[in-house]
Amino acid sequence: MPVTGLYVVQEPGTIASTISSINDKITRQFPKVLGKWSIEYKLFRENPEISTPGRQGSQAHIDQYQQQPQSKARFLSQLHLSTHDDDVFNLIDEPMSYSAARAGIKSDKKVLAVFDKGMDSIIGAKLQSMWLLRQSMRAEGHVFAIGDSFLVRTANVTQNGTFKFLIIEVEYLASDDLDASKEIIAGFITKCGFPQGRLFFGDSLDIYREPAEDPKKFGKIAHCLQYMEFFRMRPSG
Amino acid sequence: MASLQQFSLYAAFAPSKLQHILSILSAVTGMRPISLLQQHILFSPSISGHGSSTSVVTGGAAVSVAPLESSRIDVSRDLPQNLDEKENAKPPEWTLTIPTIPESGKRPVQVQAISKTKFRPSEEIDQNVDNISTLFRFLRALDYVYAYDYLERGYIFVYNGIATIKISQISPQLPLQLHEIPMGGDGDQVASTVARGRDPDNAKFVNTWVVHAYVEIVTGPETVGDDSEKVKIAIERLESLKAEIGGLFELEIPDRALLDPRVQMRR
Repeated sequence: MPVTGLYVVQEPGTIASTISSINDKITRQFPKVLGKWSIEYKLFRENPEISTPGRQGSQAHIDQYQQQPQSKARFLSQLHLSTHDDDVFNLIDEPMSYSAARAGIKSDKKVLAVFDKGMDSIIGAKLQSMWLLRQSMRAEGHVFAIGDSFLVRTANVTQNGTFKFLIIEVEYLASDDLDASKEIIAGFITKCGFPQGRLFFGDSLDIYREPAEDPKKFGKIAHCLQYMEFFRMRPSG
Repeated sequence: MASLQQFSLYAAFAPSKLQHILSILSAVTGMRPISLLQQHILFSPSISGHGSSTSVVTGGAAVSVAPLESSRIDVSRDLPQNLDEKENAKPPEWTLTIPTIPESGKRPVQVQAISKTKFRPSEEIDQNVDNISTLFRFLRALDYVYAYDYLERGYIFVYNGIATIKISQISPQLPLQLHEIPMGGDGDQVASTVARGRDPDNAKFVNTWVVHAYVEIVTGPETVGDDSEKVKIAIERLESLKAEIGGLFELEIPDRALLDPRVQMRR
Protein backbone atom coordinates (compact mmCIF):
# COMPACT_ATOMS: atom_id res chain seq x y z
CA MET A 1 0.00 0.00 0.00
CA PRO A 2 1.11 3.62 -0.37
CA VAL A 3 3.04 5.10 2.55
CA THR A 4 1.41 7.18 5.25
CA GLY A 5 2.49 9.50 8.03
CA LEU A 6 0.53 10.21 11.18
CA TYR A 7 0.46 13.83 12.37
CA VAL A 8 -0.90 14.44 15.87
CA VAL A 9 -1.92 17.84 17.18
CA GLN A 10 -2.22 17.93 20.95
CA GLU A 11 -0.68 21.28 21.89
CA PRO A 12 -2.37 23.21 24.72
CA GLY A 13 -5.17 25.25 23.19
CA THR A 14 -6.22 22.53 20.76
CA ILE A 15 -9.97 22.13 21.06
CA ALA A 16 -12.61 20.12 19.26
CA SER A 17 -13.29 22.96 16.83
CA THR A 18 -9.63 23.27 15.78
CA ILE A 19 -10.43 20.63 13.19
CA SER A 20 -12.66 23.04 11.26
CA SER A 21 -9.75 25.42 10.70
CA ILE A 22 -7.65 22.49 9.51
CA ASN A 23 -10.39 21.32 7.17
CA ASP A 24 -10.62 24.94 5.92
CA LYS A 25 -6.90 24.90 5.11
CA ILE A 26 -7.36 21.64 3.22
CA THR A 27 -10.36 23.07 1.36
CA ARG A 28 -8.15 25.85 0.00
CA GLN A 29 -6.27 23.18 -1.96
CA PHE A 30 -9.48 22.25 -3.79
CA PRO A 31 -9.71 18.68 -2.54
CA LYS A 32 -12.22 16.03 -3.46
CA VAL A 33 -14.11 14.80 -0.39
CA LEU A 34 -14.01 11.03 -0.53
CA GLY A 35 -16.15 10.18 2.48
CA LYS A 36 -15.71 9.26 6.10
CA TRP A 37 -13.20 7.18 7.98
CA SER A 38 -12.88 6.08 11.58
CA ILE A 39 -10.56 4.48 14.09
CA GLU A 40 -11.19 2.61 17.29
CA TYR A 41 -8.49 1.97 19.87
CA LYS A 42 -8.66 -0.09 23.06
CA LEU A 43 -6.01 -0.61 25.66
CA PHE A 44 -6.05 -3.63 27.97
CA ARG A 45 -3.82 -4.31 30.94
CA GLU A 46 -2.95 -7.71 32.36
CA ASN A 47 -5.00 -8.51 35.42
CA PRO A 48 -2.68 -8.03 38.41
CA GLU A 49 -4.85 -10.45 40.43
CA ILE A 50 -3.56 -13.42 38.54
CA SER A 51 -0.09 -14.47 37.74
CA THR A 52 1.66 -16.68 35.28
CA PRO A 53 5.19 -17.68 34.59
CA GLY A 54 6.42 -14.50 32.99
CA ARG A 55 4.15 -12.40 35.15
CA GLN A 56 4.71 -11.43 38.75
CA GLY A 57 4.21 -15.00 39.92
CA SER A 58 7.54 -16.00 38.52
CA GLN A 59 9.24 -12.89 39.73
CA ALA A 60 10.71 -14.68 42.72
CA HIS A 61 11.99 -17.27 40.33
CA ILE A 62 13.63 -14.70 38.11
CA ASP A 63 15.05 -12.81 41.05
CA GLN A 64 16.92 -15.89 42.12
CA TYR A 65 18.92 -15.49 38.98
CA GLN A 66 18.95 -11.78 38.84
CA GLN A 67 19.07 -9.75 42.01
CA GLN A 68 16.88 -6.93 40.79
CA PRO A 69 13.13 -6.78 41.02
CA GLN A 70 11.47 -5.57 37.90
CA SER A 71 7.78 -6.03 37.48
CA LYS A 72 6.39 -4.10 34.63
CA ALA A 73 2.74 -4.42 33.75
CA ARG A 74 2.08 -5.69 30.29
CA PHE A 75 -0.42 -4.14 27.92
CA LEU A 76 -2.44 -5.20 24.92
CA SER A 77 -3.52 -2.61 22.37
CA GLN A 78 -6.29 -3.29 19.93
CA LEU A 79 -6.81 -1.10 16.90
CA HIS A 80 -9.39 -1.06 14.17
CA LEU A 81 -8.93 1.25 11.18
CA SER A 82 -11.76 1.67 8.72
CA THR A 83 -9.11 1.78 5.98
CA HIS A 84 -8.48 -1.93 6.63
CA ASP A 85 -12.10 -2.84 6.92
CA ASP A 86 -12.28 -6.21 8.60
CA ASP A 87 -8.87 -6.31 10.31
CA VAL A 88 -8.26 -5.98 14.03
CA PHE A 89 -4.65 -5.24 14.95
CA ASN A 90 -3.43 -6.56 18.28
CA LEU A 91 -0.14 -5.39 19.75
CA ILE A 92 0.93 -7.13 22.94
CA ASP A 93 3.97 -6.94 25.20
CA GLU A 94 5.79 -10.25 25.29
CA PRO A 95 6.40 -11.78 28.70
CA MET A 96 9.96 -11.92 29.81
CA SER A 97 11.42 -15.29 29.02
CA TYR A 98 13.38 -17.25 31.59
CA SER A 99 16.36 -17.40 29.30
CA ALA A 100 16.35 -13.64 28.75
CA ALA A 101 15.90 -12.96 32.47
CA ARG A 102 18.77 -15.23 33.34
CA ALA A 103 20.99 -13.61 30.80
CA GLY A 104 20.03 -10.22 32.17
CA ILE A 105 18.55 -9.03 28.89
CA LYS A 106 15.74 -6.58 29.33
CA SER A 107 13.38 -7.48 26.58
CA ASP A 108 10.49 -5.21 25.73
CA LYS A 109 9.63 -6.82 22.45
CA LYS A 110 6.05 -6.80 21.28
CA VAL A 111 4.10 -9.06 18.97
CA LEU A 112 1.66 -7.72 16.44
CA ALA A 113 -0.99 -10.12 15.18
CA VAL A 114 -3.86 -9.39 12.82
CA PHE A 115 -7.23 -11.11 13.15
CA ASP A 116 -10.69 -10.51 11.78
CA LYS A 117 -13.39 -8.62 13.71
CA GLY A 118 -14.18 -11.65 15.87
CA MET A 119 -11.06 -10.92 17.95
CA ASP A 120 -12.76 -7.85 19.33
CA SER A 121 -15.25 -9.89 21.35
CA ILE A 122 -12.71 -12.58 22.23
CA ILE A 123 -10.44 -10.15 24.08
CA GLY A 124 -13.28 -7.98 25.37
CA ALA A 125 -15.53 -10.77 26.59
CA LYS A 126 -13.88 -14.17 26.66
CA LEU A 127 -10.56 -13.07 28.09
CA GLN A 128 -11.93 -10.33 30.30
CA SER A 129 -10.78 -11.94 33.50
CA MET A 130 -7.19 -11.97 32.22
CA TRP A 131 -7.08 -8.66 30.35
CA LEU A 132 -8.81 -5.61 31.81
CA LEU A 133 -10.05 -2.80 29.59
CA ARG A 134 -8.36 0.42 30.68
CA GLN A 135 -8.92 2.87 27.87
CA SER A 136 -11.15 3.17 24.86
CA MET A 137 -10.80 5.84 22.19
CA ARG A 138 -12.69 6.59 19.02
CA ALA A 139 -12.30 8.96 16.11
CA GLU A 140 -14.39 9.77 13.10
CA GLY A 141 -13.61 12.22 10.34
CA HIS A 142 -13.35 12.95 6.64
CA VAL A 143 -11.08 11.81 3.83
CA PHE A 144 -9.86 14.32 1.23
CA ALA A 145 -7.98 13.71 -1.99
CA ILE A 146 -5.55 16.52 -2.82
CA GLY A 147 -4.23 16.39 -6.35
CA ASP A 148 -3.22 12.98 -7.64
CA SER A 149 -0.69 12.11 -5.00
CA PHE A 150 -2.10 12.81 -1.53
CA LEU A 151 -4.98 11.56 0.60
CA VAL A 152 -5.56 13.41 3.85
CA ARG A 153 -7.66 12.05 6.69
CA THR A 154 -8.58 14.26 9.63
CA ALA A 155 -10.41 13.34 12.82
CA ASN A 156 -10.99 14.35 16.42
CA VAL A 157 -10.08 11.62 18.89
CA THR A 158 -12.40 11.27 21.85
CA GLN A 159 -12.29 9.24 25.01
CA ASN A 160 -15.73 8.56 26.50
CA GLY A 161 -17.07 11.41 24.40
CA THR A 162 -14.47 13.93 25.63
CA PHE A 163 -12.16 15.54 23.08
CA LYS A 164 -8.50 14.51 23.55
CA PHE A 165 -6.49 15.53 20.47
CA LEU A 166 -6.71 15.56 16.72
CA ILE A 167 -5.01 13.44 14.15
CA ILE A 168 -4.18 13.99 10.50
CA GLU A 169 -3.10 11.06 8.37
CA VAL A 170 -1.28 11.90 5.17
CA GLU A 171 -1.13 9.18 2.55
CA TYR A 172 1.38 9.64 -0.25
CA LEU A 173 0.04 7.62 -3.16
CA ALA A 174 3.16 7.65 -5.31
CA SER A 175 5.39 5.40 -3.22
CA ASP A 176 5.55 2.34 -0.99
CA ASP A 177 9.02 3.08 0.33
CA LEU A 178 8.68 4.77 3.70
CA ASP A 179 12.24 6.01 4.18
CA ALA A 180 12.25 7.73 0.80
CA SER A 181 8.90 9.40 1.41
CA LYS A 182 9.29 10.78 4.93
CA GLU A 183 10.55 14.14 3.71
CA ILE A 184 7.84 14.48 1.11
CA ILE A 185 5.14 13.86 3.73
CA ALA A 186 6.75 16.27 6.21
CA GLY A 187 7.06 18.88 3.43
CA PHE A 188 3.41 18.47 2.52
CA ILE A 189 2.35 19.07 6.14
CA THR A 190 4.46 22.25 6.35
CA LYS A 191 3.00 23.46 3.06
CA CYS A 192 -0.56 22.98 4.31
CA GLY A 193 0.21 25.11 7.37
CA PHE A 194 -1.28 22.77 9.96
CA PRO A 195 -0.89 23.75 13.66
CA GLN A 196 2.16 22.62 15.66
CA GLY A 197 2.19 18.84 16.04
CA ARG A 198 4.29 15.70 15.86
CA LEU A 199 4.81 13.22 13.06
CA PHE A 200 4.86 9.47 13.63
CA PHE A 201 6.25 6.97 11.16
CA GLY A 202 6.07 3.93 13.43
CA ASP A 203 9.70 2.90 13.10
CA SER A 204 10.69 3.10 16.76
CA LEU A 205 8.56 0.19 17.95
CA ASP A 206 10.51 -2.97 18.60
CA ILE A 207 8.17 -5.68 17.39
CA TYR A 208 8.76 -9.32 16.71
CA ARG A 209 8.88 -10.00 12.97
CA GLU A 210 8.99 -13.19 10.97
CA PRO A 211 12.54 -13.79 9.76
CA ALA A 212 11.52 -13.56 6.09
CA GLU A 213 9.77 -10.26 6.51
CA ASP A 214 11.06 -7.48 4.33
CA PRO A 215 10.75 -4.29 6.34
CA LYS A 216 11.32 -2.08 3.31
CA LYS A 217 7.90 -2.47 1.80
CA PHE A 218 5.11 -0.46 3.37
CA GLY A 219 1.99 -2.44 4.25
CA LYS A 220 -0.91 -2.54 6.66
CA ILE A 221 1.28 -3.66 9.55
CA ALA A 222 3.58 -0.65 9.11
CA HIS A 223 0.51 1.56 8.76
CA CYS A 224 -0.96 0.29 12.01
CA LEU A 225 2.39 0.66 13.81
CA GLN A 226 2.28 4.43 13.28
CA TYR A 227 -0.89 4.58 15.37
CA MET A 228 0.43 2.11 17.92
CA GLU A 229 3.64 4.10 18.28
CA PHE A 230 1.70 7.21 19.10
CA PHE A 231 -0.92 5.62 21.39
CA ARG A 232 1.69 3.60 23.26
CA MET A 233 3.91 6.61 24.05
CA ARG A 234 1.06 8.28 25.89
CA PRO A 235 1.58 8.19 29.67
CA SER A 236 -1.14 5.64 30.30
CA GLY A 237 0.51 3.09 28.12
CA MET B 1 -22.53 -7.04 19.34
CA ALA B 2 -23.34 -9.87 17.03
CA SER B 3 -22.84 -13.34 18.43
CA LEU B 4 -22.67 -16.75 16.86
CA GLN B 5 -25.04 -19.39 18.23
CA GLN B 6 -24.64 -23.03 17.38
CA PHE B 7 -27.61 -25.39 17.64
CA SER B 8 -26.50 -29.02 17.65
CA LEU B 9 -27.37 -32.66 18.01
CA TYR B 10 -24.88 -35.51 18.26
CA ALA B 11 -24.67 -39.23 17.57
CA ALA B 12 -21.97 -41.89 17.33
CA PHE B 13 -21.56 -45.15 15.40
CA ALA B 14 -19.07 -47.95 14.78
CA PRO B 15 -16.70 -47.88 11.77
CA SER B 16 -18.40 -50.90 10.14
CA LYS B 17 -21.47 -48.74 9.43
CA LEU B 18 -19.57 -45.92 7.74
CA GLN B 19 -20.12 -46.76 4.06
CA HIS B 20 -23.80 -47.47 4.62
CA ILE B 21 -24.29 -44.18 6.47
CA LEU B 22 -22.38 -42.15 3.90
CA SER B 23 -24.48 -43.48 1.04
CA ILE B 24 -27.74 -42.83 2.88
CA LEU B 25 -26.68 -39.31 3.84
CA SER B 26 -25.72 -38.65 0.21
CA ALA B 27 -29.23 -39.62 -0.80
CA VAL B 28 -30.88 -37.55 1.94
CA THR B 29 -28.83 -34.42 1.24
CA GLY B 30 -28.46 -34.91 -2.51
CA MET B 31 -24.73 -34.29 -2.48
CA ARG B 32 -21.41 -36.08 -2.42
CA PRO B 33 -19.61 -35.86 0.93
CA ILE B 34 -16.99 -33.11 1.22
CA SER B 35 -13.93 -34.60 2.84
CA LEU B 36 -12.40 -32.96 5.85
CA LEU B 37 -8.94 -33.11 7.39
CA GLN B 38 -8.05 -30.72 10.16
CA GLN B 39 -5.45 -30.13 12.79
CA HIS B 40 -6.58 -28.79 16.16
CA ILE B 41 -4.19 -27.39 18.74
CA LEU B 42 -5.65 -26.55 22.11
CA PHE B 43 -4.26 -23.72 24.21
CA SER B 44 -4.95 -23.31 27.88
CA PRO B 45 -4.37 -20.29 30.12
CA SER B 46 -1.03 -20.60 31.89
CA ILE B 47 -2.45 -19.01 34.95
CA SER B 48 -2.57 -19.53 38.64
CA GLY B 49 -3.82 -16.89 40.99
CA HIS B 50 -1.58 -15.33 43.56
CA GLY B 51 -2.75 -14.41 47.02
CA SER B 52 -5.03 -16.80 48.79
CA SER B 53 -8.08 -14.70 49.64
CA THR B 54 -11.31 -15.38 47.86
CA SER B 55 -12.97 -12.24 49.16
CA VAL B 56 -12.14 -8.57 49.05
CA VAL B 57 -12.83 -6.34 52.00
CA THR B 58 -14.59 -3.17 50.93
CA GLY B 59 -15.81 -0.72 53.53
CA GLY B 60 -15.71 -3.32 56.26
CA ALA B 61 -17.85 -5.86 54.45
CA ALA B 62 -16.34 -8.88 52.80
CA VAL B 63 -17.53 -9.25 49.22
CA SER B 64 -16.84 -12.47 47.47
CA VAL B 65 -15.26 -12.09 44.08
CA ALA B 66 -16.47 -14.02 41.07
CA PRO B 67 -14.03 -16.82 40.31
CA LEU B 68 -11.52 -16.00 37.66
CA GLU B 69 -12.35 -18.26 34.82
CA SER B 70 -11.24 -18.58 31.31
CA SER B 71 -11.66 -20.92 28.41
CA ARG B 72 -9.37 -22.97 26.28
CA ILE B 73 -8.74 -21.75 22.76
CA ASP B 74 -9.00 -24.19 19.89
CA VAL B 75 -6.61 -23.22 17.11
CA SER B 76 -7.37 -25.17 13.95
CA ARG B 77 -6.56 -25.32 10.27
CA ASP B 78 -7.37 -27.42 7.22
CA LEU B 79 -4.60 -29.79 6.21
CA PRO B 80 -3.80 -30.57 2.57
CA GLN B 81 -5.56 -33.82 1.66
CA ASN B 82 -3.87 -35.07 -1.46
CA LEU B 83 -0.59 -34.83 -3.27
CA ASP B 84 -1.78 -32.00 -5.48
CA GLU B 85 -2.81 -29.86 -2.50
CA LYS B 86 0.44 -30.68 -0.71
CA GLU B 87 2.53 -29.53 -3.64
CA ASN B 88 0.61 -26.32 -4.20
CA ALA B 89 0.14 -25.67 -0.53
CA LYS B 90 -1.17 -22.25 0.31
CA PRO B 91 -0.29 -20.73 3.67
CA PRO B 92 -2.68 -22.35 6.14
CA GLU B 93 -5.58 -20.36 7.51
CA TRP B 94 -5.69 -20.63 11.27
CA THR B 95 -8.99 -20.16 13.04
CA LEU B 96 -9.30 -19.49 16.76
CA THR B 97 -12.46 -20.81 18.38
CA ILE B 98 -13.66 -20.32 21.94
CA PRO B 99 -16.89 -22.14 22.71
CA THR B 100 -18.86 -21.51 25.88
CA ILE B 101 -20.54 -24.11 28.02
CA PRO B 102 -23.81 -25.19 26.35
CA GLU B 103 -26.93 -23.49 27.69
CA SER B 104 -29.04 -25.44 30.10
CA GLY B 105 -32.76 -25.43 29.47
CA LYS B 106 -35.56 -27.30 27.87
CA ARG B 107 -34.79 -26.74 24.22
CA PRO B 108 -34.89 -29.94 22.15
CA VAL B 109 -31.38 -29.20 20.80
CA GLN B 110 -28.13 -28.08 22.37
CA VAL B 111 -27.41 -24.35 22.20
CA GLN B 112 -23.88 -23.06 22.48
CA ALA B 113 -22.44 -19.58 21.91
CA ILE B 114 -19.18 -19.64 19.97
CA SER B 115 -16.56 -16.97 19.38
CA LYS B 116 -14.43 -17.33 16.29
CA THR B 117 -11.74 -15.32 14.64
CA LYS B 118 -9.43 -15.92 11.69
CA PHE B 119 -5.75 -15.13 11.93
CA ARG B 120 -4.66 -12.88 9.06
CA PRO B 121 -1.17 -13.50 7.76
CA SER B 122 0.58 -10.28 6.92
CA GLU B 123 0.73 -9.47 3.22
CA GLU B 124 4.18 -7.98 3.53
CA ILE B 125 5.98 -11.23 3.97
CA ASP B 126 6.96 -14.05 1.73
CA GLN B 127 3.89 -16.12 0.87
CA ASN B 128 5.68 -19.35 1.79
CA VAL B 129 6.11 -18.37 5.41
CA ASP B 130 2.92 -19.21 7.24
CA ASN B 131 3.26 -16.67 10.06
CA ILE B 132 2.96 -19.49 12.49
CA SER B 133 5.47 -18.10 14.96
CA THR B 134 3.71 -14.75 15.06
CA LEU B 135 0.44 -16.46 15.98
CA PHE B 136 1.96 -18.69 18.66
CA ARG B 137 4.05 -15.89 20.15
CA PHE B 138 0.91 -13.81 20.32
CA LEU B 139 -0.98 -16.57 22.14
CA ARG B 140 1.98 -17.01 24.50
CA ALA B 141 1.91 -13.29 25.24
CA LEU B 142 -1.84 -13.55 25.92
CA ASP B 143 -0.80 -16.10 28.59
CA TYR B 144 -1.97 -19.12 26.65
CA VAL B 145 0.21 -22.20 26.34
CA TYR B 146 -0.02 -25.39 24.33
CA ALA B 147 -2.14 -28.00 26.11
CA TYR B 148 -2.77 -30.84 23.64
CA ASP B 149 -3.54 -31.44 20.00
CA TYR B 150 -5.43 -33.82 17.76
CA LEU B 151 -6.19 -34.49 14.13
CA GLU B 152 -9.71 -34.79 12.80
CA ARG B 153 -10.82 -36.43 9.57
CA GLY B 154 -14.22 -37.02 8.14
CA TYR B 155 -17.00 -35.88 5.84
CA ILE B 156 -19.38 -32.98 5.63
CA PHE B 157 -22.91 -32.83 4.23
CA VAL B 158 -25.25 -29.87 4.04
CA TYR B 159 -28.87 -30.64 4.78
CA ASN B 160 -31.78 -28.45 3.71
CA GLY B 161 -29.65 -25.40 3.01
CA ILE B 162 -28.55 -24.51 6.51
CA ALA B 163 -27.82 -27.60 8.60
CA THR B 164 -24.31 -29.06 8.48
CA ILE B 165 -23.75 -32.72 9.18
CA LYS B 166 -20.18 -33.47 10.14
CA ILE B 167 -19.11 -37.10 10.48
CA SER B 168 -15.65 -37.32 11.92
CA GLN B 169 -13.06 -39.36 13.72
CA ILE B 170 -10.30 -37.90 15.84
CA SER B 171 -6.73 -38.91 16.47
CA PRO B 172 -5.35 -37.61 19.78
CA GLN B 173 -1.64 -36.95 19.40
CA LEU B 174 0.97 -37.94 21.92
CA PRO B 175 2.77 -35.16 23.75
CA LEU B 176 6.18 -34.30 22.32
CA GLN B 177 9.08 -36.38 23.54
CA LEU B 178 11.82 -34.53 25.33
CA HIS B 179 14.22 -34.81 22.39
CA GLU B 180 11.63 -33.31 20.02
CA ILE B 181 11.30 -30.05 21.93
CA PRO B 182 13.58 -27.39 20.51
CA MET B 183 16.23 -26.01 22.82
CA GLY B 184 15.88 -22.56 24.28
CA GLY B 185 12.19 -22.39 23.46
CA ASP B 186 9.97 -20.04 25.37
CA GLY B 187 6.81 -22.07 25.15
CA ASP B 188 5.60 -21.01 21.74
CA GLN B 189 8.09 -23.31 20.02
CA VAL B 190 6.40 -26.44 21.33
CA ALA B 191 3.23 -25.40 19.50
CA SER B 192 5.20 -24.56 16.36
CA THR B 193 6.85 -27.97 16.39
CA VAL B 194 3.48 -29.66 16.87
CA ALA B 195 1.88 -27.61 14.10
CA ARG B 196 4.53 -28.58 11.59
CA GLY B 197 5.34 -32.10 12.68
CA ARG B 198 2.09 -34.08 12.83
CA ASP B 199 1.58 -36.67 10.14
CA PRO B 200 -2.07 -37.46 9.30
CA ASP B 201 -1.09 -40.33 6.97
CA ASN B 202 0.29 -42.41 9.83
CA ALA B 203 -1.99 -41.20 12.60
CA LYS B 204 -4.11 -43.69 14.55
CA PHE B 205 -7.74 -42.63 14.67
CA VAL B 206 -10.10 -43.70 17.45
CA ASN B 207 -12.53 -46.46 16.65
CA THR B 208 -15.73 -44.40 16.76
CA TRP B 209 -17.28 -41.99 14.31
CA VAL B 210 -19.06 -39.00 15.76
CA VAL B 211 -21.95 -37.27 14.01
CA HIS B 212 -22.34 -33.59 14.75
CA ALA B 213 -25.38 -32.01 13.11
CA TYR B 214 -25.53 -28.27 13.61
CA VAL B 215 -26.96 -24.98 12.45
CA GLU B 216 -25.05 -21.77 13.11
CA ILE B 217 -26.88 -18.48 13.27
CA VAL B 218 -25.66 -14.97 13.97
CA THR B 219 -27.83 -13.02 16.38
CA GLY B 220 -27.66 -9.50 17.69
CA PRO B 221 -28.86 -5.99 16.90
CA GLU B 222 -26.55 -5.43 13.91
CA THR B 223 -27.61 -8.58 12.08
CA VAL B 224 -30.22 -9.16 9.43
CA GLY B 225 -33.52 -10.79 10.37
CA ASP B 226 -35.52 -11.53 13.46
CA ASP B 227 -33.56 -13.42 16.10
CA SER B 228 -36.42 -15.53 17.45
CA GLU B 229 -37.41 -16.49 13.92
CA LYS B 230 -33.84 -17.61 13.18
CA VAL B 231 -33.78 -19.71 16.34
CA LYS B 232 -37.11 -21.27 15.42
CA ILE B 233 -35.91 -22.22 11.93
CA ALA B 234 -32.64 -23.64 13.26
CA ILE B 235 -34.45 -25.90 15.71
CA GLU B 236 -37.02 -26.95 13.10
CA ARG B 237 -34.35 -27.96 10.60
CA LEU B 238 -32.47 -30.05 13.15
CA GLU B 239 -35.65 -31.76 14.29
CA SER B 240 -36.69 -32.58 10.75
CA LEU B 241 -33.21 -34.01 10.11
CA LYS B 242 -33.50 -36.10 13.27
CA ALA B 243 -36.87 -37.47 12.14
CA GLU B 244 -35.68 -38.19 8.60
CA ILE B 245 -32.66 -40.25 9.58
CA GLY B 246 -34.22 -41.75 12.71
CA GLY B 247 -33.51 -45.37 11.77
CA LEU B 248 -29.89 -44.73 10.85
CA PHE B 249 -28.69 -43.25 14.12
CA GLU B 250 -30.33 -41.42 16.97
CA LEU B 251 -29.38 -37.72 17.19
CA GLU B 252 -29.28 -36.61 20.79
CA ILE B 253 -28.20 -33.86 23.16
CA PRO B 254 -24.99 -34.83 24.96
CA ASP B 255 -24.21 -34.13 28.60
CA ARG B 256 -23.42 -30.42 28.67
CA ALA B 257 -20.66 -30.87 31.24
CA LEU B 258 -18.65 -32.84 28.68
CA LEU B 259 -18.55 -29.84 26.40
CA ASP B 260 -17.52 -27.36 29.07
CA PRO B 261 -14.42 -25.57 27.76
CA ARG B 262 -13.77 -23.56 30.89
CA VAL B 263 -10.60 -23.72 32.89
CA GLN B 264 -10.82 -22.71 36.52
CA MET B 265 -8.02 -20.53 37.74
CA ARG B 266 -6.79 -20.79 41.24
CA ARG B 267 -6.64 -17.62 43.25
